Amino acid sequence: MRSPHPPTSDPLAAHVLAGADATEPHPAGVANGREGPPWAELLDGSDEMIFMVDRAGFVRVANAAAVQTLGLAIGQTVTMLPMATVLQGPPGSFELDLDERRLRGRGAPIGEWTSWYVRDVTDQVMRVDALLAERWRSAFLAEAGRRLGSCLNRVRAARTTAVLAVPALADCAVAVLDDERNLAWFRVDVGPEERTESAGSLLRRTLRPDSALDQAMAGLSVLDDPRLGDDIGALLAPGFGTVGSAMVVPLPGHTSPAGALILARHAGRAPFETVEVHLVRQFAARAGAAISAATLYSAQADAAEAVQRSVEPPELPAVPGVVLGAAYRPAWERLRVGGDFYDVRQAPDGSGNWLFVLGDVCGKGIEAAVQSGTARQSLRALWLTEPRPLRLLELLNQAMLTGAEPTMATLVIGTMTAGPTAEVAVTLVTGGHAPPMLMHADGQVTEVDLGGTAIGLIADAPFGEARLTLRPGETLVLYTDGVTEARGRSADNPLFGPDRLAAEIQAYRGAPAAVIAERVAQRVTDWVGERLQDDIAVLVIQAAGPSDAAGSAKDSRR
Amino acid sequence: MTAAVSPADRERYLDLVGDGAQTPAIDFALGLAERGVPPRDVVLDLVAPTQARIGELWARNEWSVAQEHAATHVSEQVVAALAARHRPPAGRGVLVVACVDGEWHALPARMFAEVARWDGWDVRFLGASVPGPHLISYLHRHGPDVVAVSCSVPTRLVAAYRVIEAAQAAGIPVLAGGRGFGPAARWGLRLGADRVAAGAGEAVEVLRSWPLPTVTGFDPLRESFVSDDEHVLIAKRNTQLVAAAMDDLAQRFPALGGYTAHQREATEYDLGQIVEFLCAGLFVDDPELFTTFLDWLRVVLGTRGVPPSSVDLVLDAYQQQLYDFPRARAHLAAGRRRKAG
Repeated sequence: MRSPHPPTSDPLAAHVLAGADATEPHPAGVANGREGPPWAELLDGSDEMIFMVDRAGFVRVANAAAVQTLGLAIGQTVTMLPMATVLQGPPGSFELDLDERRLRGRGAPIGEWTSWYVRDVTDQVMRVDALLAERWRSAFLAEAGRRLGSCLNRVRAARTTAVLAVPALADCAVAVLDDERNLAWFRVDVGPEERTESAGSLLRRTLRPDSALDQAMAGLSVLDDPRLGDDIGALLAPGFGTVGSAMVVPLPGHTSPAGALILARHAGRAPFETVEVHLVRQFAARAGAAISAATLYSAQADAAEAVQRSVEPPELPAVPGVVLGAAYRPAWERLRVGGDFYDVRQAPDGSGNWLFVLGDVCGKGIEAAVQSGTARQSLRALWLTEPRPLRLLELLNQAMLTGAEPTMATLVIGTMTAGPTAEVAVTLVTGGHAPPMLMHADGQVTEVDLGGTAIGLIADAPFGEARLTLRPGETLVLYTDGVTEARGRSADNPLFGPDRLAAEIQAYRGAPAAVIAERVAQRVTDWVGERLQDDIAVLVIQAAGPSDAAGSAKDSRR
Repeated sequence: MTAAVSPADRERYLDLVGDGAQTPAIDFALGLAERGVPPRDVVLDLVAPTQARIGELWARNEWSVAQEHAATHVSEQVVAALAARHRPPAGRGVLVVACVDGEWHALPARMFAEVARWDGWDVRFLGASVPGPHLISYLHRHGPDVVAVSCSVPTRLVAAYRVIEAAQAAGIPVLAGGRGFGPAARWGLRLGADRVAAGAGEAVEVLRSWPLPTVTGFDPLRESFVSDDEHVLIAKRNTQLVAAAMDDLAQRFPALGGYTAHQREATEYDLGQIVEFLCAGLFVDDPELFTTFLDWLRVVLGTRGVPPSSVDLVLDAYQQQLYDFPRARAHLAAGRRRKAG
């Protein structure tokens, strides 16, 4: 503790002190020398900087910490001090940075003097800052993982990568997707006024070997290399200006990088620190994983979609003299296809003869769908050379028996030919399938019982055949067992059954084929309540009356 | 030279579809377009309002259900014919249109899809009742700019909610539309859709003025908007509730004894529908959903000779059964009060 007396060489201070001595209370025991408790020693022992400033702005008391840390001297005017602004203001709390130190203090008036208590909180603040920064990095990575993790689209994952990186990591980010020929890129740039997103692509062969991007595609990171500006300049937003700090990192994929991420900061922003480089790598790892997963998913989904397209129920063709309608509802599946199928094909010889088929391959889901697609294709091929339905069925049976996968199916095959008198001659054959229903002009509904066994079971299976003539006002309904065997949701889960089906068809007497088909499918769906347990396919055939002969051409599946 | 659809045109069109006269109806609609009515107006001002009329005519028992469906079928063909005839511009972006799982009314979504196409969108119409996983897989694969989910019946709102959530999780913004989302499609907002529209015309306007976000801010951990799970528990008990109500009805409404099997089934179906709408109302926590349905049901039953008071008997039966479901009881009470007032 320095003496509260001013240096005698300063007359002004001496004057002020003299005046102050007369009016201000002195800390007890200090002003008058040796008596009382040793206050000076007590204050010198504190780590806190403690000092007093008088009304005129002169330091009057200062403990050892204040002298050492702040460089105070008794009698000094505070206007000379680096922290003058604080000390000249009204007493209160403050926090300021001084020579890389963070000081936190408060002033309290004691009479006309002000006593100041100041602490060096540099370490404490640094710890908190580091903690906050760490917490921010964790939150950023968590957010990135969340957004990227729910994205199974490659392009969108790349775009999300660039979007997340700006402004958190850089002022401009370009995510580049690796590919054999074309490198698609997505860029987000935050300028002084607005944030812009853009996309484009560049040819892989135009990449200069050993350029930063080329290196990143090979798995190497490049940080603040002098040549970096030349390498990435063309990909940065136009008008980006001088690059302050930049890095190019690979987006790690499953076996090779899925792409690269370019990050650039303006000249005014702090360069990438070590801890930030670390963060960028962790971010790139998440982005790369998301892009790779999406790429893998796309490949699988492409395959599934190709299969699905090949087995989707076809659009019904326009058959002269005939009104057709169909409905198809697969059991609830990821893919909207199942083992039920139908098809209508014209005879190759231009005879005006048409083939129709409706069937059900045992099983559900994608396997059944593929099998039904095979059966449909076989039938189409056989139809090119064989016009007799019964023979077609026998050939299909043999084809299925010799196939690699044992398949059992029930189906109805028929041919139809519209005659000159608005009547349609129909031949039906079946193997073990639910009997088609025929609604007569008076609304009466009867089953067309054909017998026969399922195909794909035995070589010389017996099949049933029937011929009938469909007149205007009559309706032939083919359906799969998903219709009649649908279980209702009421207490005892009753079967939908053929009687309800017949009643439903009857209720729609006079309606066009498409409406009847859709209605049957809807009624069964309502019957089941929630999810269909089995596929449903319905094919409805009517003889076009003279009035709607023209309309039939425009009829379609929906 | 833009012409407009007149009320007389709508009357004529209603007659045509009422007769199931497909070819004349198509010719009539195409004729309007040839006279200078924009195809979009043919859909929005001719087909759409006619479909609404048809629904009313059926509800009042003036049209049979077969006639209603035949007419709807004709309208579908009309929209298809207009779509085939009028090729659209392109350039606004890729829009996926899908009906939610279990929603088989495809025509409203189809009309929106075509109108949006004429407005420049590259539309992928996925049709009726698109299973959630199928839709999400499609969205991931094709990464459209926006997905529009259509729901015409409120009982499919739970399915709609799942799809909205999953689409947003995939980063695709969602437009919810259709009568199923309620007045001004407000239940769509409640389910978290980014935008909503009540009808096809409004939906196209919404899309025009929407700066589509490239990445949606979806939080998978966001709090559910439903305060309890009454709607789940009651939906599970649907069958028992209907059976109990049927017993109750048999005692207090002797005519039920003389019902044919078909009539009994139809009654059971109606009773099940009441439970489903109750659950939907609980799900969005809005009694108006349930009371609106009951108003409609009373009209439908009334015009078919079923005394509307029988609905109250059912509500009473459900009240008794659902004694420990406070929200359900409130909705049921609202349904009962509505009739008195």
